[in-house]
Amino acid sequence: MGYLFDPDNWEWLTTSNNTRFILEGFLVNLQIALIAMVFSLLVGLGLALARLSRNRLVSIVVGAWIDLWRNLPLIFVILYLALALPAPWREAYEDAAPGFLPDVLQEGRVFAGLLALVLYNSAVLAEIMRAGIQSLDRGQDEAAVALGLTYWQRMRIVILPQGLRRMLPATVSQLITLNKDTTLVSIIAIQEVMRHGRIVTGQNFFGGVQAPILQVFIFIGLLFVVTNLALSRLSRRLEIREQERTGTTVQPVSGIEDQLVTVHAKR
Amino acid sequence: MSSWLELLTDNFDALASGFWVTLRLVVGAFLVAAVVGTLVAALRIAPSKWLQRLGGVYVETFRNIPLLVLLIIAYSGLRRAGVPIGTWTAGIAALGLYTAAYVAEVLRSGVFAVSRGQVEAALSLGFDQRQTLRRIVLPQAVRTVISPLGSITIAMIKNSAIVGAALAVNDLLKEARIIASRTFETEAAFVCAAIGYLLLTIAATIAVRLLEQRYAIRR
Amino acid sequence: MADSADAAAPLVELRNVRKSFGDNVVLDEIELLVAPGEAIVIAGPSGSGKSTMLRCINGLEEVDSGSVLFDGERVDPRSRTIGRMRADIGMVFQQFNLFGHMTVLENVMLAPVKVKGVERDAAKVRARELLETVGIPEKADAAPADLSGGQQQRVAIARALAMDPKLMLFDEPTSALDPEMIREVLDVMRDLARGGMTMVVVTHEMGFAREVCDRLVFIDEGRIVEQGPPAEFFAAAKSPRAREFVDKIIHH
Repeated sequence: MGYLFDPDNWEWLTTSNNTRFILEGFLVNLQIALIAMVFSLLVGLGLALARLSRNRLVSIVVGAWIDLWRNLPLIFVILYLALALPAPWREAYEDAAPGFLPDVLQEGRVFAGLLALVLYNSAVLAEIMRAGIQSLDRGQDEAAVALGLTYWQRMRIVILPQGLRRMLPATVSQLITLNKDTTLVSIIAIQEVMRHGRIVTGQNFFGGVQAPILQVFIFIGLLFVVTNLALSRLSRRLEIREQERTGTTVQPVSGIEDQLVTVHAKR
Repeated sequence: MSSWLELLTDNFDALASGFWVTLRLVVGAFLVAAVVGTLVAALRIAPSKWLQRLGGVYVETFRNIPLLVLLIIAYSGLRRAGVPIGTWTAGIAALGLYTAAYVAEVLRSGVFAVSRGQVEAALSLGFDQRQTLRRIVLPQAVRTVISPLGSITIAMIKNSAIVGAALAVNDLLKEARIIASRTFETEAAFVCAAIGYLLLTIAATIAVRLLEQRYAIRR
Repeated sequence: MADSADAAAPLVELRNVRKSFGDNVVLDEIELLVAPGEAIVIAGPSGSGKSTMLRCINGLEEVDSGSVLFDGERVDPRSRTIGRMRADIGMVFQQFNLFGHMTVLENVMLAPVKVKGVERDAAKVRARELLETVGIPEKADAAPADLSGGQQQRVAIARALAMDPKLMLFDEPTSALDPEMIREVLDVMRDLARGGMTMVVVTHEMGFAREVCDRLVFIDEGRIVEQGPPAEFFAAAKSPRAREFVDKIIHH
């Protein structure tokens, strides 16, 4: 305890731009998370709809695809793609990456990381969305059918707004997991917060001050805790607003990453 | 022919040892998660506001911090601070403490999932609080938590691969990477590792299903 | 109204309809004609195939063989025109099935706007009128979850009526309701029938059948056992199964 709170061991925070350097790294993580989230949600929705397709073949093939990616360790997927992704793909990414992204995110190897995050998370999110949609009473769809709405109208107007609302808590907890998982790309040498932490705690950095590993990584950990708590706070506020609007409550089982999606709706 | 089969037979010892390491990591972390998770869940439903808050802080911290950060704190952080911790201890502790937060949440919501009506029925039959908890609430809670605990275990099996990536522990994924870099058979090496992980997750799935059957509600 | 049964063109025509779920035959050789303006009650023990028959009329269930015609057109769940046909057939469900994420008014407006392309303002005016008709204009902006079962079912009726349907199907509309709410729903249905709406109603409310309906169709084990004016049916049912059914109801 003495070591942990010894002011000498926290001095690095105010010397040689250390804090700023770490925050810059953290910003890279947030950007990776944001990009991966957007694509995972879009791809996940597509997969969920395909999984629920009335075409048996489509449903089975997509189901196998989803099960494959969500049952492999993410770090496995990241390392595999880093080794196996064909060079032309990376180059294509370097060409296609928009100029407003920071330099780190325009590098070809980031593509392997992003692709792994999207492959894995879209599969998990697809399962969450499927469960949300299927948890709806069949009568909702039947009533919409009886009114003469088309398949896409039913999905867009009746099924998705209710199904997706039910899986909001599970989705947010998966997005929190995704946010944490961005640290894994440090293993394929992308310069984000973990790498920056390593540099700060390495020797002879910025005039020879060597920051203690324990304190630096506790600081980094807290950055994640704070952003993730903000994320779940935000989702809770959204839920409450929806509750007040529609008079219904959604009772999620607390966020268990990756798998469990049990949602109850209360009348 | 399937090159991965050849690679599997050529490197069987290394892959088997990696599998064994992963299995030991998982079992060790599971035990830590079960014990710590139960304690934290007990804090969360304790009669004192302060104990509840303490449990809450544990859950919110360990659930929101990346496992990789925990691993570095537990190993490099402590060692630099002068604590002579080993890679195994650090790996199992970090993975176990991380998972414990999820276990605690599941146990807590399992207890709350038992309906108020069940408790009232028990109390009105003359059971006291302790008997109600032991005879009515917990047996029902056990059923509701089996499946989510299974999901957590499967997630933990997958997370165990992060331990090998961060620390000098030669788990299944690490062995596969070593073989890949030696033989340049990336594809085959990763297929072998994938099969290993699938074996573990499938085993966990089957175990959960058997437990569910055993504790299923008979209607 | 009653004598329109022998008018030339029936609105609904079921010809030799068969339907089974696995080995279980739920509809067998069903022949049924519904004339425009007619109100029909389908009665029978539970599990006799009443609801399935109703659901075949708007293609929620696909028949195995035989044909279902609505307004002279074949009802085929796989056809492209099925949506247009369903727009002309209102359906009211046992469980109401109001859309939980929309207000009452939005529920009623939805199909006219999205399926018929009615302008929003016009749909809104019409929706308010219909809520008035079913007796709950004040609940327009409420959430379905905040209504009683009887109120929800009346909204569901208004939602179906908003499409100006030629036919209304009721699938046990009062079975999920508390006894004191059954009346308010039946009253709305009675007014509809008196206004000339063609209706096919699956229900256990035999008082309603006797008072409101032109014809009672008795089904047992997937077959139409007998049919006729409700009063006759209750006074002198011919088949033993029907007698048994009537006895049970009277002794209740």
